[in-house]
Amino acid sequence: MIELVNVKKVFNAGNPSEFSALNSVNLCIAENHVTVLKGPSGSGKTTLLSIVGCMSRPSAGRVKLNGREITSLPERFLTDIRRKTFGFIFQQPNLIKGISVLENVMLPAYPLGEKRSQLRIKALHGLNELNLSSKANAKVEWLSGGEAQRVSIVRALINDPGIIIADEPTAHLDTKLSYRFMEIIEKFKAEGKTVIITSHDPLVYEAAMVDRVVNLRDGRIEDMPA
Amino acid sequence: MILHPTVIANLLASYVSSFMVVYAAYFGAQIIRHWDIQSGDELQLTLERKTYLISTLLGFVFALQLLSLFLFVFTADTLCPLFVGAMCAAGTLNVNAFGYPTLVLKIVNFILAGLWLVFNHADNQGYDYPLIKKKYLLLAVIAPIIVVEMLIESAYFLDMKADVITSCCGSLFSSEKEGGLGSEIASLPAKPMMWVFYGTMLCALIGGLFFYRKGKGGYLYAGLSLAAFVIALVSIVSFISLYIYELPTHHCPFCIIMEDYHYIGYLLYMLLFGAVVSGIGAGVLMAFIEVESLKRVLGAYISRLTLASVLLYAAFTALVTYQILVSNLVM
Repeated sequence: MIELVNVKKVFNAGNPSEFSALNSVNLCIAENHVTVLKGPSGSGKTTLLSIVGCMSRPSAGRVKLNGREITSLPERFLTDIRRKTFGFIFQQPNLIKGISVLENVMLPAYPLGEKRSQLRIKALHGLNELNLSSKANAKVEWLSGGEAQRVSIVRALINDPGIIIADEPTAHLDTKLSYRFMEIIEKFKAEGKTVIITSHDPLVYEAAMVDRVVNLRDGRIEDMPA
Repeated sequence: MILHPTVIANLLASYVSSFMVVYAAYFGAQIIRHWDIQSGDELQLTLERKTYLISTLLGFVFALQLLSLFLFVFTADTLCPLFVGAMCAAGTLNVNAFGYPTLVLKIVNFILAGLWLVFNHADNQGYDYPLIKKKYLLLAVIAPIIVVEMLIESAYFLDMKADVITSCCGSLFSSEKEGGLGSEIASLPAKPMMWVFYGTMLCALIGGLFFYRKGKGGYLYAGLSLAAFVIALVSIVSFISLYIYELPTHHCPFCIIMEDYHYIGYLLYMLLFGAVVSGIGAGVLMAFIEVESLKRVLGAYISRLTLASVLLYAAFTALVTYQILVSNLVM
């Protein structure tokens, strides 16, 4: 379970351009559930997601992961948690051009020091799961938008994270691919993973497998968590 | 003041260290007063972010502080041709009243800075900043001493006058001269001192190996390390130097860093200072072995420090023994 206690995030604090992106957010995100953070642009969805995913620190407040307080952790411990616990799927696939699909997928696992041969088997298995086996040796420049998105999903799963974080994942996908994406999310849920998605796409937050929708506006949660 | 590149380097290093340490101590005072890991306050989170930066920078500053001891001695040795009567660093340090006090402070700060680095490394192994308040308390002790060192070092270099006639090391560390710490140590009888030296080193090595193997006797080893360090320094003046120079009356602890003696003094002092810092550090860290977040990692770190200390003392003793065996001096 992820618990946020009185989380605030202020950018450019003390400057004339000071902006408060999150204001006293209290939230519990249940394990093995699909949670959608919904809200208009600028509501603080991505900021909240980046704090939950240990990619940034709050200005005040604490975040607990399975009861363990993680906001105070020194950077090297945080990196370890980020690497092993979270899988990130971004709005853009953010694949590295010039190297193959397989190498892109294997990349986040390199710091963990797993044997390359085993890693390769794991990556090929992941690609196979999303019907991308034939593209393993292709360069990422040659992929379609949907294929690139699926490759980024396989990459997010390479370290077998317990929590998948997806930031506006369907923003650049057409309807068919968006449905395909939600099918993949359903599969994650069935596997017992926790999924947190930010989106203002009805196709996402109205999907049947979504357990909870959290509405954000002006850095605050509009309705109290259930 | 004598405008020499090494003098400028010494002063710059001292000013940079002092400025950084004073700033860090001011920040450390905030940590000591306001640190509360349970709190999610803005101030606490700011302190958490800042301590990461400050302790990283302090790591570099204290590494500079360690180097500055050797730079200071090297500078004193380099400048000796400028002063009438000076034959090595011993004479240069004697050109005014601030030379030897600066050296003593540099030695004290070397050990304290080394201990801070040991503490900082241990603190970084824990996920909840387990030694943070102790680390900054130690900094609060070190900071004023570093500032005093900076002031005295400045007075030493700024007050240097080339027309001063100083004493040579033969006079400062003479067993025949009456008075002065150097002469008193030099006049200690060589043979009994040799027994004391080997006896102390043996105790330190046995104590260290026992601590390394059994994990017990950490405080004892810290004490033995300090004793071995002091005895070794005294022994250098009392008898080790005699064998290196192959002269029965030359007790200078500085000539051994000269080219004529293959700079062996630098190696001896580096082994000795490394040994004392790791030895005391290992012993002192035993006080925190039961800290929850350090339980899994601190034991291994203490073992590594102890082993390093034992090996450095063993290397020092072996090097001294080799010098005695190959020396043409017969006592």
